Amino acid sequence: MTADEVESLAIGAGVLGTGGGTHPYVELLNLRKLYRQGKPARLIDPAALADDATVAVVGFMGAPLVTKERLTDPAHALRPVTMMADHTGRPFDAVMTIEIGGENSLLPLMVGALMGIPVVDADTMGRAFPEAQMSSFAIRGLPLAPFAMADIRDNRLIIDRAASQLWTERIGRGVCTEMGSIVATCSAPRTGREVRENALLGSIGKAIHLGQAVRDARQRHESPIRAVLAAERGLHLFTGKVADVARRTTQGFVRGVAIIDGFDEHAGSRFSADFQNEFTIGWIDGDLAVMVPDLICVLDAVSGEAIGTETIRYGQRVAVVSLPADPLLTSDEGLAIVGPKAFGYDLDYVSPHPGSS
Amino acid sequence: MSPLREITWDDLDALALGTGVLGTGGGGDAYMALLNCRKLHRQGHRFHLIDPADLGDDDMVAEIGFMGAPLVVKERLPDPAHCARPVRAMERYMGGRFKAVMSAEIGGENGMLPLVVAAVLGLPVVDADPRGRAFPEMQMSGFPIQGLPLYPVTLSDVRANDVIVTRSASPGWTERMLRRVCTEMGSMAALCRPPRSGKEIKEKAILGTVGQAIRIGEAILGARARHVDPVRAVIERAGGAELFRGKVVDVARRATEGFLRGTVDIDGHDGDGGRCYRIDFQNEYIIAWRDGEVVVTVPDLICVLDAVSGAAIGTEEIRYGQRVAILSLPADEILTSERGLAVVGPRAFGYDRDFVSLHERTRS
Repeated sequence: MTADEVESLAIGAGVLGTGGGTHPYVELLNLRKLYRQGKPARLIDPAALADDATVAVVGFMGAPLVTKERLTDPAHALRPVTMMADHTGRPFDAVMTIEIGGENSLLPLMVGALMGIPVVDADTMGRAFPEAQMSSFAIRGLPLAPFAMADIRDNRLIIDRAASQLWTERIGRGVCTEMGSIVATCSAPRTGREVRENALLGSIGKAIHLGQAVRDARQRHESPIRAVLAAERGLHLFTGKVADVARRTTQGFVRGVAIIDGFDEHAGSRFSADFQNEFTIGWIDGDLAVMVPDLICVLDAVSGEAIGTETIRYGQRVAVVSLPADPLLTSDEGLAIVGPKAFGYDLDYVSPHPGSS
Repeated sequence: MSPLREITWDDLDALALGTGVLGTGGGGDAYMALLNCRKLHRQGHRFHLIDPADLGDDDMVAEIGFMGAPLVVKERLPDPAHCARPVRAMERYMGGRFKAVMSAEIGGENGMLPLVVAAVLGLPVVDADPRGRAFPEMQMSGFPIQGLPLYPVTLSDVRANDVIVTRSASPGWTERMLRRVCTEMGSMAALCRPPRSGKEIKEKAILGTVGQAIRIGEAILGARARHVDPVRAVIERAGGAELFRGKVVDVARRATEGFLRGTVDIDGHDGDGGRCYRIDFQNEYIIAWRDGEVVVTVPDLICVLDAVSGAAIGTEEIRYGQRVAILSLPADEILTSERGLAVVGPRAFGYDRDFVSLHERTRS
């Protein structure tokens, strides 16, 4: 991957973060430094993985806000991967991210650059989700354990076996909160074949393409919002000004609601969105407009830069865009784990995207 | 190597009573573990005690115990297969087999648990432990006090969840992480603490504590049979001091942060008439005042016994109207050393005062 592609990936990942984690600026700084040190990240097509290749599945767990105070350290990101290789006795051939959205998009690049192994062009969410079991691997019934966790001190813990994927999340979340709400994790190793059959393929390429479209539009002084819509077959749901934000940090998540008053063609209307790290449900004038697992992206109306649930604030002028979720997430098995009911809403999934509902 | 000593059917009753006394109010009631031991015994399992001196220097020993709220164990009965799971998980993690098991604390239920696990695994129980009593937190143990790391540790719940702490920044961090995991799991989990070599046990454990607990229990049973005072019998056997006799007049108890905390007030009778005692507890009894003056603090053992039966009364079951005797037994010198007091002295429990003891010690 060229340094320029990494810049585009960061922008695209911000949009796909759907509010949970924004533009991964700190991780991007880390990668720029690694590139200067002659340690670039290499991308591998999942089709090129050997069936029995061993792939590390990495992600940060915790509150995105904490990474704004405690800067990401590549050596920390590497630690659970080393723990997992020691635990299973098998070295890794490649690394991939749990989620393409937000800061976790760049995590495997740091690990890959440090270890000299390629990054698989795939992820398990096609976006960002707040909980560990909200992944295509879990939807397909693959266990998340063993699950290795390391904090920024010298604390290391492995969930060796778990009663369910949800128990991995529950135990892991508790430990993560104790450790200061930011931990590097490595979930159960996957074979090349498992990745091909159960991951969402091509996510990194897609995010680079999306980021590149935004950058091109900015350069040509065109609307970056339109560029996002065109690149991802998205829908423009709303334009307005942030009028109110209620936000609280509970049980290791940032939860709340954002209210946006419309202008231009949406003058007189009001958009409100609930969030749990990521935006989960959106209403226009009290009517359901969009919900998980479809992506709800709140973008700066001028720059097209993604706005996160921890940075959204009064007065921002924003465009609300929805991108369609991967078909695996909108299948019956997928909706059981990442649909509105999984987030505590007694709602059936409906989608504004043609062919998704 | 001398032959293993069998822990007989009669020894089981004595051990349950003795671990209660050494539990100093906490460590859980050993009754459920006693029932498990009796059942295993009826099924043909036998329990064997191994003298630490008979361990090979390189023999690996599993140090085991329950973590959590003793109250939960009263609802969710301990299951021998569950208790053995973290030991198996540790064997897989370290890639070797254990030669024996040892209690993480002789006080309370954890004093009997190794028998249950030993029977399931077919291993002997080492006649030693690292505390000589019970303590509420993981790092409050003779091994961390003497500088041995508190990792790796394996922990299993009653479902199918197994967790391994492979490294921790300090013994306190092991406690902090696993307390949280344990609370998530329902406040009860079985633990296997870091594997210890025979050499480490011989040099750093408190030796002979299982035998000591059995002898304390025998003293109580013997006194009951002879209709003499069982409290006196405990003191004669364990070398402690009787502090007070009285009636419980008030108990303030609250379950917080995974611990049972509170205060007991006891009014004196007989020779202690007109005086009163107050004792604070965090799972175990921590500090005792007589008429407002501190008389005894951790790590010395504060034992509250039923004045008639001699059975220990735990912090989760002590209640208004009970007639009790308060005893102090001397803590092992590992715990009363300078390094020991930093980890298990009054300040470690949040009291801004020095260790107070009624017992003579040769200062090192």
